[in-house]
Amino acid sequence: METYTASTFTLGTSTVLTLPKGLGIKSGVKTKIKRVKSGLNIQLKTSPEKDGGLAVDLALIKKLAGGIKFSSNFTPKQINDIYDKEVYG
Amino acid sequence: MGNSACYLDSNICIAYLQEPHVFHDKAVEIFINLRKRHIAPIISPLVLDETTHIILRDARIKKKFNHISKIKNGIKKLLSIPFLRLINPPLENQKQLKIFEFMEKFKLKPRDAYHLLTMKVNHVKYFASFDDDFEAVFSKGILQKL
Repeated sequence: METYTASTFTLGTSTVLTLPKGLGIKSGVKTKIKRVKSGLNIQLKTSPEKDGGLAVDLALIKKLAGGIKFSSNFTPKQINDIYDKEVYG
Repeated sequence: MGNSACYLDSNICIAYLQEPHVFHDKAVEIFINLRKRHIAPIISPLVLDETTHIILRDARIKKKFNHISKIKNGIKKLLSIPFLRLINPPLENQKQLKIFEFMEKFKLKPRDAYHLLTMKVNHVKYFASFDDDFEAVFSKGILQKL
């Protein structure tokens, strides 16, 4: 196990934890913090869980699709022509 | 934004939301492929306007009840697609005139020229559509077809 040193600073009412750039951790990564005997154990979700994220996203894309059921049978080209006619006359 | 973003035409958004649409499965597949390739789907308020306009039109023709809230819910779902982002056209006065250049050069209608302007100022590389209005833009290498 490798150990890295991070530092903190205060920003408003929050404490910001800065991590070494070399770790390649992007902004917005989900963090899990556990209180342990010696202090806090901070876990960052990194690459091994990315595939899990992909699977979740693909399932969400499928789940969000559809739902509106008053489609006409027009092709995209016909829809385009209708829009043009209605907007441009 | 560049290599990792693809602007989506409203016909893809319409097909994605409209379940019985002839291109519904294709539209879902486009969103899935974008996610697999780590390319962010990009739209603009203009795309949302066109999407809403066409679905609203279909709803009125089919005399559907409570269609506004159904369309709102559909747009909400569209906006919840992972990594989907909105971009805007430029706000500088002089840049608006660029659309006339695009209209002449690529034989585009004003709104399509605005789509192109929006993509250009935001450095979007890919464009996905079910129609062929942007063929001249693709052939000149201005955008890449997805």
